[in-house]
Amino acid sequence: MASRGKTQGSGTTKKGISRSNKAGLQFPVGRIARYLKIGKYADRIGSGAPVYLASVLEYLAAEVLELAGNAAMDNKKTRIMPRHIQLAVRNDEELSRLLGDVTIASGGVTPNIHNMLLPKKVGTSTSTFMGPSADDDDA
Amino acid sequence: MARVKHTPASRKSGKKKAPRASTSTQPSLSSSQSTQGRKKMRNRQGTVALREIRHLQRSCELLIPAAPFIRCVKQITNQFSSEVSRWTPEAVVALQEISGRYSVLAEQRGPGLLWNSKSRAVFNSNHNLRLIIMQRSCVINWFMFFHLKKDIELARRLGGIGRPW
Repeated sequence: MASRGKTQGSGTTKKGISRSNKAGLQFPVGRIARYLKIGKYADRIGSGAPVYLASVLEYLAAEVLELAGNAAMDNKKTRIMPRHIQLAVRNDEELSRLLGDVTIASGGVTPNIHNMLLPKKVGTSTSTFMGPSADDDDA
Repeated sequence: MARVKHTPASRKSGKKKAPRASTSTQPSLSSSQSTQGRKKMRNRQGTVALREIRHLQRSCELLIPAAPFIRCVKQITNQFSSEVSRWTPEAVVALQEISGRYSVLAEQRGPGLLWNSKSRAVFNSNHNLRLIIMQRSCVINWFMFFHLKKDIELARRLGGIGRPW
């Protein structure tokens, strides 16, 4: 019976190259394809869909890790902690919008004190600050 | 055979060192004399509050004490079902994180709404840093040293959390 694929007689068996290596990615393309099939998101899954999804996930992970690493370096630490991820996410506008409703465990808050709460300079003599009056109309 | 602890010969001798005599000839000042000369250091109003704000915003530990929180969780669990009465530690810690986060967000979101709209900021007459924001009979004292029930309700009303009121 004729066998398709590799010839049985030849001693040199070609080693398979993973799809992550073919695409130049670190995230697993095959595993993502399996998850897409198991999850029943659709009846059929295209061959390019897991590659695309893996590249998107890798880009997001690299972005967060780069910013968190910079935050850890600023604090003179060589290990990324949840606090560094929180600072990285909240200081970036787009990531903050993406993870707006996300709570990071033991992340703390970003340091922020309103200017009105800070003590006045010695030279200034004004004791009260009157903002826009509440009697004015909204227009 | 049981092991025997070997100690050096110098340790076995029953001689004990005599206590070292204190050679300080300078007489110690009494507390009344030491505090009489200089005035006690006091900070201005609002300085310690700002220091605490900076310290608490730098830290990231859990602000709710663990034991009272666990008692509260067990009590509420007992009210809803008598069969389920056990919690894993990870679940309690997760609930504690979420509770602390919720209270912080409820405190932050109320004043934020007022700052965006028309507001009036007034300092007290003695110029301390007690910021009061007034808008349509809504008053928030930013330096609340303890949270009363009405403070939490006011913050939740302003933040739009937990409607209807």
